Amino acid sequence: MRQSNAYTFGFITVIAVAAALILSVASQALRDRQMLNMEADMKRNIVAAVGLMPQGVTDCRRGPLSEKLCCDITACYRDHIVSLVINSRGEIVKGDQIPERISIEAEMDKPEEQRLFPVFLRRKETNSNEYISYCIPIVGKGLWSTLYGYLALQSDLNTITGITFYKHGETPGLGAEIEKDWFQKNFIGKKILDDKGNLVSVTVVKGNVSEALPGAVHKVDGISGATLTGNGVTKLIKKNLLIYEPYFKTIRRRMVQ
Amino acid sequence: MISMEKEPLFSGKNRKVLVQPLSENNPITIQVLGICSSLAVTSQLKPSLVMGLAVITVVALSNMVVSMIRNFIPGKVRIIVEMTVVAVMVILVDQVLKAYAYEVSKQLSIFVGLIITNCIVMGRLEAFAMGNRVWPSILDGLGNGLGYAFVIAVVGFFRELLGSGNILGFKVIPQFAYNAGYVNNGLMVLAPGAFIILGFFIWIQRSITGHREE
Repeated sequence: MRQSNAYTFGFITVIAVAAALILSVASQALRDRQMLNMEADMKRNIVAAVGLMPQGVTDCRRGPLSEKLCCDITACYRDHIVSLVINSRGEIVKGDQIPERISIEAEMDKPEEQRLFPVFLRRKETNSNEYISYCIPIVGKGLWSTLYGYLALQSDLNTITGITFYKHGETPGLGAEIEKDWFQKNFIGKKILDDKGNLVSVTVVKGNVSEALPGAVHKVDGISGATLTGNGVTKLIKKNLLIYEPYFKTIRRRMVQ
Repeated sequence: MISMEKEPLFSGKNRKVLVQPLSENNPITIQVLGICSSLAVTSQLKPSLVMGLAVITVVALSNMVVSMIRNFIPGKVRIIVEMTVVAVMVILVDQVLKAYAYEVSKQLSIFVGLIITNCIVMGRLEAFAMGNRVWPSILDGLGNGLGYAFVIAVVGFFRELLGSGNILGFKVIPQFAYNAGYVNNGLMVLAPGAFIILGFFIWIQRSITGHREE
């Protein structure tokens, strides 16, 4: 009986249905919490990149996301961040897209004129309409995996305010150091434009940057043992800055006038 | 109801099932199973600990489920059924981590999925849960999970200490040692470092227990 084909088919069907049922119940039950964590994680990376931290939190990038921290970050984000959507020509698009939900990777698969990109602006003060920092998502290949992060520029759209990486699959202890403070701090104050105002981006070098040499302002200390991850970071920053360059150009032009 | 003789929960036999895999029948150091994942996650201590916990949960739960249904599983598809049970458990663990330990789940995401292919899990289902009652199967799962967790925690401890000079992310090698010329051992961060530590571990263990390959 236990060896008959009918029994085998029947048994497998029961197992498959039971497994599907358990997994869908679990996924439904945990979905809200997972979404909350993911959104809070995204927001805290934006908040950290533009140089804001919720009150009482020294470094909100690390540590487990507790209920309270989620609320702090959400409140901080709501008060200080304005999110916009732009198209590939750099024009602001009004519509019903939610900037926080846009996936750069999905946009890159679309034809160029249909692509939409999010920008996150930091208000000078709560409710002010003056912006002191512009934050963009950065996505691209590292060595083993796709890296996801945010890069924030000061209002001159030249000086880097901060960078974060929040998702990657690089080797712990080597490439994974990109998520560490010491590496991300190196970017602060670096410039993405040369003297003539052309985009040169920043380069992660092998070893340390010697401050005396010209161009040090466009260079960042690398991670020893993770040169290839560093090259990936260099490439993806440039690639993502190029996407936003049309938008940044219009703002810079407006500033000059 | 043929044999329902009452056996104490922690009878001598059951204790042995739980304790044996910790040392004299350790899945990693004696049976040399589950090596792949013990290389991948042990470059730091924290992921090693969480991976250990995840494996304990998955082995114990899937041992339990498979032992419960062992008398109904048709022999020719038993591997597939075992796989399904393990996969369900692994996805559950992954989902729970995402909801309640988001940071850790980000760090471990791919490795948690790879528990499905961890030979220890399938090995215990085939070798123990298919032929034993539920309670001993749970103990066997816990024991083997603990044996695995213990070994990768030790490997993770030494790799993080020697490779990055940290323990759980805190600096433990003082700055003056670096100033005096001490350098972190980069090999320890890479997979060969795990092989070396594991080799030492097995050597020390076997010289204490006197274990020999037949």
